This record gives sequence, structure tokens and C-alpha cells, in this order.
Amino acid sequence: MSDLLRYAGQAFLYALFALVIGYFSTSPPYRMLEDDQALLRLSLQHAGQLRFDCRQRSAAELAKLAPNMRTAADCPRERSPVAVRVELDQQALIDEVFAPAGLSRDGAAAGYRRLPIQAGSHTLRVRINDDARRTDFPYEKSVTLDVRPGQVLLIDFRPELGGILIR
Amino acid sequence: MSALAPPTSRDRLAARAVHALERGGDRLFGAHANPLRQLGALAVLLFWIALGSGAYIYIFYDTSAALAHASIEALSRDQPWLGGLIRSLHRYSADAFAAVTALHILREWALGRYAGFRWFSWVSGVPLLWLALGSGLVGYWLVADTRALFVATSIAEWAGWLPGFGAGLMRNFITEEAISDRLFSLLIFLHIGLALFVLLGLWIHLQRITHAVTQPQRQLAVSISLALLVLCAVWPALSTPPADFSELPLPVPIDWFYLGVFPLMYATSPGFAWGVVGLGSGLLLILPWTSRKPVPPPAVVELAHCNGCGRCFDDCPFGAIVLVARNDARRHAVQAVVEGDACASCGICVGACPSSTPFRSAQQLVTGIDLPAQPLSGFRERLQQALRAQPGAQVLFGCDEGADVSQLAGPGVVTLSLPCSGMLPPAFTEYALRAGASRVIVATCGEHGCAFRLGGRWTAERLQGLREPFLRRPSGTVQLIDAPRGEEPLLQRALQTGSATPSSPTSEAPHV
Repeated sequence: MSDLLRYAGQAFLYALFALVIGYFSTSPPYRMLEDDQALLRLSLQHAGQLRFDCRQRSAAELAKLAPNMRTAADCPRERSPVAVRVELDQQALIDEVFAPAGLSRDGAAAGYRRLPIQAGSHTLRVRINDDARRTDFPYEKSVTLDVRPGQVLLIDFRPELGGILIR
Repeated sequence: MSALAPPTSRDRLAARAVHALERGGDRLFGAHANPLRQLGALAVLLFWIALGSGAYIYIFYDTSAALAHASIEALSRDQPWLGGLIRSLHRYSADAFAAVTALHILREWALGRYAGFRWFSWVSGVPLLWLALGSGLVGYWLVADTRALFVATSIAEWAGWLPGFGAGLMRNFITEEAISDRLFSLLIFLHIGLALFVLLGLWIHLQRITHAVTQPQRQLAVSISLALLVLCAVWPALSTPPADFSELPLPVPIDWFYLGVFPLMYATSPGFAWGVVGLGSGLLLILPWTSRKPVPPPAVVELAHCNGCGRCFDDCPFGAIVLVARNDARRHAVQAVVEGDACASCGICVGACPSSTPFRSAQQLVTGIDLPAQPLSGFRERLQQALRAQPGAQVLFGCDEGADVSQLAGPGVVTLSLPCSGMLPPAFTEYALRAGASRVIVATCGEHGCAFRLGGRWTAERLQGLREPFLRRPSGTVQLIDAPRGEEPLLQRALQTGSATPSSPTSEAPHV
């Protein structure tokens, strides 16, 4: 093989190597969503209400306890799971119950879901119940949205900021 | 001489493919600058380039949520002649590092270089992949552009699947107010810290390798650096627009070398992606113990013939020999001890031992260090018998891992294949000449093609009088030829013509 051919071959292979590195560094671009889709995210981390009411201990129960443990009220620490229902144009998208964390189920319930939706005009209804002693949904929010392609909608739950947040 | 059999019929298909590619590379680049033969060293060079260019970027990087994106963009905008170039070099060298590392793993696997004494080097390389991947992922996060947001949320979704992380992890990256300056300080700490752990891991990875080649040959290093620089100039690496929590980039220009796992995750599930990555890592980790290749017994020291000179210690490519205080009554201070599980049974130590001279008059040739499965005395006997049967024949010493010399045996040609050409004590060539050989050819795999790393180099240096034990003034022609796997035709031509016509510019045929 002549030197000229060898150098040309080397140059070609180094250029090919650089091309492969350059190309796969950004390409092919990844399409997470279709062109006409947007993304709906639900993210919450919330400690539900206590699952059970406190009850008064009877005198007999108190007598059985060690003197330093004799508190009149028995308040179980377990918290309520957080039930979430999300409807888009009256179609149920999410209907789930997120359990509280911890061995004693006394921590915060956390949940995350991601759902691609069609861009366009939608009615979004979100209902949340964080109290197992209730059967209804004390938190509710309905909005009509004009969703752009590629837009990210976030459903958050922050009772201290007014409850359900859609941003 | 019979017609040559298919040159590499001893190997499995993957190894044959690698040998064929390497032969092609040798012809094009020369064995000394063939990238395929120096993939490990090349990966180290690319790592250093990434580290050096990263240090420059760090000078200008602002570790605040508000200014991180702008500070990186300013590099490309305000100083495209240097900052932009170095920023691009940082990206592309990291990508090239990933690509070359993948090729390095593939090559070693194809050549079966992962089992037996190599298990430590193989297994210690697996965590490096995780560390490099981790550093790369965090690096993309630091740019604070829309791709960074994609990376952050994807990592959170991926890690959130694992027990202990949970859905709450995502809340750290989902809104603008959740992103703090402290997060970026943590990220830069992780990015640099993981890269430094790669360096530490690399040191561990090379612990069972002596004379490790961590710098590619100069011509190769310059060529690959130039190729990357041209790429940086022609196709500079740029950020996407600043991260916007209400918008998902359509489409995302992702780096497939580091972010390829996320499309897999979104096409399947986070659990599936963990399964693929976990299974892949697990398979890599157990691979050394899946090999059914028989393990030859390690070299054995014959203490009565060992004077503790340390040449075997110096020459062992895998650090399998240590020198310890003498435990017999002889006056020498130290003796060689073989660490059995690190021994490759290549015999390079036998070739280094000054007692391995075939001129010793003992009926049974005993050397200071020898291979129990293929003792040197056996080679001397075979050589004597062959030359008695064919006086005046050409003697061709070869290597089991290189060109198959047994194919070239025939009338007038005596061949002897050793586990590695490095096992051949230089005095053996002179012994062959004095025993009636008309000419001696020593075929090695070359400096860069030796399966045991240093056999070709040590053999050449010993025959050229540059390394002990020296070959002292041979009484006839001793010829050294680089003939790695598949180069049987080169040896055939050398035997027929009396001198090797190099089939590639690297297959040198010096007369010693």
C-alpha cells in the first residue's frame, strides 16, 4: 500500500470517528412526545390527616398502663392515605390511592405520575381526599386549559398554599 | 511446505474478527499507531483531555441556578476561539472516552481476555463504567438548559423507581422554586468527584499490570486529538435554551453515549431499564467465571537454580512474581515466588531467567523458573530431535498466540511454538545455530500485539542486546519478525526467500 493511500485511509477513518462522535453526541434527537402532545404530571408529597380519631381511655385501661404512660387520650399515629382522582374531559386519567410512608404508616404519602395528553383545549378536574374518615373529596379544582404542544402541566397538592395547584 | 490452512482456525469467530480488523489496522496505521491495539491507553488519554478541558470550564462556571446556563453560554459566545473550543472538546472527549471504552471492553471480550488471571482487571473495570456514566449524567445537568431539565427529570423518574428514593425525589426538580444554588454546588462536586473516583478506579484497574501503557503512541495521540479539535471547530457543542419547567423540548437532542438509557426507559419502564443495566453489569461481573478455557498451572520456581537476580520479577507483565527473603541456606539475599492466581503461564519469566540457557550440560535442563505444563527442557529436546532429523533446516520459533508456525513446518523447516515468544531464552537461537540450523527466525506478535502484553517487546529487546538476558554475537543469522495472528503468509515468504518481505510497514524483519 502506498504512503499516500495509507495517509488518505487514516484521514478518512479519523474523520469517520469524529463524525460518529459528533453525530451521536446530539443525534438522532429523541422524541419523548408526539408533535401534538403535551405532558401532564402529578406530583404530591403530603402527610394525610390522622386516620383514626383520638379516644378517651377508660379507667381500667389507664390502670393497666405504666404510671408514666397514663395519658387520657389514645391517638393512633397512622395517617390517612391520599386518594387522587384526575379527569380530563370527564375521562378518568388517574384514580389512585397513595399510601403513607413508614413502618407505622405515619409518614407523608408521595406519588408521581406522568401522562402524555393531546394538545388543545381541555377541562381538567382534580379531586383529592387526604382523610380516610371521609368518603368525599374535600379538595377539588376544575380548570379549562388550552394546552400547547410540548407544554408540561403540573398538578401539585399544597394545602398550605390553598390545596390543589395546577401550573 | 503445505498450503496454509485458514490462518486463525484456532480462534472463535469474535476473536477472528478482531484479529482481521487489527491486521487491517496494522497495514493502514502501522502496528505502533494502530488505535485498535491501544484502546485502553486511548481511553486514558481521552479521560485526561476531558479532565483538563473541564478544569478550564470550571474557572468560568457559575454554580448558581440563575447564572449556570449563562456562564456556559458565555464561554461559547465571548471566547469562541478558546472557551467554545474547550467546551466542545470537553463534550466530545467525554463521548469519545465512552465509545473507546466500549470498544476496549468488546475487544478484550472477543479475545477472551477476561478470565483466569485477568479476572481482577476485568471486574475492577466494571465500577469504572458506572462512575463514568454518573459523572457524564451529572455533567449534562450542570448546563441548566432544556436538555439538562430532561436529564434531571429522567434521572429522578429512573431513580424514583428504586426502593428508598420514591416519588418524592421528583419534587426536587419539578418546579423552579425547588432548584437552588446549593443543588448546583452539589452537582459540580458530584461531577468532579465521580471523575476523580474514575481516576482512583483506574489505578486499581491497573494494579495487576506492570509497565502499564497509559499513554498511546505519540502519532496516535496527536491524530486523535486533532480529529477531535477539527470536530470542535466544525461542529461546536452548544447548549439548548435555558431550562423551562413549563415546556418540554420537542425533540430533545440527547447524547446517546451517556443518555441512551432514557429512551429505553420511556419506551418500556424504569424497572425494565434498571433490569437491562443491572443485568448487563451483573453479566460483566460474572463473565470471568463463565470461561471453560482450561487454566494451565502457574510457573514454578526451582529454588536450587534461582539466584534471586530479579529479572523474572522485572519482566513479568502481570506482577505475578515477588521477591522475598531467601528461605534456604544459599548466600543470595532474595528468591522469586510466583503468585499462582496472578500468573498467566506465559513463560516470559522463563525467557528472562539467566539459568534458562540450553547450553547447560545437564541431561535434564532445569531452570530457575519454569512452566510445569511446558518445561523448557521439552523444547530443547524437540529442537535437538528435529535438527538431528533435518540438519541444515531453518528453525522458526513462534508463539501459540501469534501466527500459527506449525502450518509452516515441512522439509527444511523446523518449527517450535512456545506459549509466548517471550519464553524463548535468547541463547536458544544460538543453540539452534550450533546444533545445525541454517538460519533462525523468531516470530513474535510485535510490541503492540502480544496477548501477554510484553512478550514481543522483551523478545526484541533481548535479541537486540537491549535487555538482559542478551543474545551475544550469534554465529549465524537470527531474524526477528512481527507476525501476529493471521500473518502466516509473511513467515512463509520469509522462509521461502530467505528474508521477510514485510507485508505491512510494521512487520519489520531486522537481522540481529
